Amino acid sequence: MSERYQPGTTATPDRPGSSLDQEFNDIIDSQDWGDFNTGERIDQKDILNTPTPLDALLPYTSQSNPEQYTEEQSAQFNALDSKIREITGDPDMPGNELRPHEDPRWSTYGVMHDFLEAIPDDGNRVASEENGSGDNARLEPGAAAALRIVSRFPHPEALLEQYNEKRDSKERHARMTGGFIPESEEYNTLRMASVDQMLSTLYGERYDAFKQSQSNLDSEKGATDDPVVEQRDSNQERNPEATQESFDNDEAERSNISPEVHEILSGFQMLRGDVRQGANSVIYAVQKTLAHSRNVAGMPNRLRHYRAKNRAEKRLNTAEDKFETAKQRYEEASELQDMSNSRIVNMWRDRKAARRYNTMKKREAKRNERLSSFQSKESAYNLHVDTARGRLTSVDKKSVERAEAIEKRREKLMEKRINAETRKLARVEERNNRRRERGEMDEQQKNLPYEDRMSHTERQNKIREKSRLSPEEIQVLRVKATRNLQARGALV
Amino acid sequence: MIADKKPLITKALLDEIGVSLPDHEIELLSEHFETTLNERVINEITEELEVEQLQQLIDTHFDSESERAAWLQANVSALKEIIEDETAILIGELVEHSDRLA
Repeated sequence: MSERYQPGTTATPDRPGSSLDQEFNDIIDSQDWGDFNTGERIDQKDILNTPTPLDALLPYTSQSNPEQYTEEQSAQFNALDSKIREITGDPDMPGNELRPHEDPRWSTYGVMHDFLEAIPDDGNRVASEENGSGDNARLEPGAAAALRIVSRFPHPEALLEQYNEKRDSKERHARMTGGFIPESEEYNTLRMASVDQMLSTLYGERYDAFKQSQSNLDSEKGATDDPVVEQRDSNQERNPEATQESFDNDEAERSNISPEVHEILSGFQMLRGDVRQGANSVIYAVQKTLAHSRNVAGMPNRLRHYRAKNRAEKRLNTAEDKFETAKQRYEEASELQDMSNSRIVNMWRDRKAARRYNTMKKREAKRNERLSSFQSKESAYNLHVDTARGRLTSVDKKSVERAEAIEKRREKLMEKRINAETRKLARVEERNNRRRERGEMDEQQKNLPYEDRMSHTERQNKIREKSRLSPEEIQVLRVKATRNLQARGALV
Repeated sequence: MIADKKPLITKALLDEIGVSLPDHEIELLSEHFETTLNERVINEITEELEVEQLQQLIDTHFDSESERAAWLQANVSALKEIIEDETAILIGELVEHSDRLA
């Protein structure tokens, strides 16, 4: 950082130069970017999530919050921003719609935009309000503005941080869209030309005078590695305000320029130093980032990429062959598995059917056994029933027979009784007849002469003969006797 | 008059007409049956005799039952028929009332 800034001479990772370069290289080497020798690739997602060297630089940056500016300051910033965009060819403005990777000025614009974004337009007024006393108050508007710009200019690392955000987003966009961030001496030249154009627009003839005087000083001193200048620049970077006074004294003694010019030169010298410092930091970080991106993408080493690609293709072919073999084996195994499953299913069905058949047979045997037992019991039961029925029938038959015998015996005895009753009635009737015939015969005999009278025996026989009942009369008596018995309920 | 004969009412006769009685009741029934039969036979013989025969029976003194039986058989022509008819009538009455006895 002790060198004066020279466009196009910025150190790159491939050309380590200063201690900061070495520090960047160390940081980059400490990162894990993947191994291209083994074909390991890092996709874009991993790249985006992978810490970049700029991320490693973040601890060195200071905090700067533009939101702390007032509305008036913001309006001034916006006006200045529009002016810068107009000068530098802002790709976002109408007519300048160039993609970031196509516009070589975008990075320069980003640097200047971040730089000028923090510069108030009315530097005198701000200086009179906030820095109304001291050495700065003695400066003319141009020099005071330049010095004020330097004093209010954020630390280059803060600018770097602000720039990183925009750069990251644009860089991601460039990666996603297949573009890349150009980097060459021509771009740096264009970038510094943009800076000169901007400063010339802002400060007009004063800047031109400063530029002319600067050229005169360079030509007088002849070299940029002057130990005095180098020491001055180093002191200026560390403490710009403290260095300002020594610089003023040194320059006043060593040159014959007027104080006004001297002030202007001093202010622009400091301004240029800070701009250079901030621009160098930003450019350096951008270059590191670009280097990192190219390393990650494998673009710098096409041979490695080609070998890795060949190895990957070979592995891919091998993997495809293995995959085909495995697929074929898998299909064969699937067929065998299907056949095996089919056999297993059939065997399982046969065994299941056999088990069912055996179970059915066992159940049938048990059913037959139970049926036989039931049939034997049924036979025994039927035998018992038949025996009981036989006994009952026998008993009933005997009872009936006995009843019938009893009834017949009774009928027979009742028949004898009827006959006896009939004979008894006949005897009573014949007795009555005899007694009547005897009385009649006695009367007849009394009227007859003795010689004509019958003997006692003859009279008895004749009375009996006349008293005897005829069979019809006896039958009538029988009917009478039967009716009498029926009337008494003796006969049914 | 008929006491010497076998009993007319026996267990076999009662079984034939459906009467089942204990033995001692059978004896009582038999005794009552023969007494009743004897009275009815005597009444019927008395009715059968003429007044002269009845007076002769009363006046005649019989030394034994057999003499009296011989006199009755000689004077009552229907003696056997009377005894059989009265026995049949009395057994008929027993049959008539057999359901009450069983």
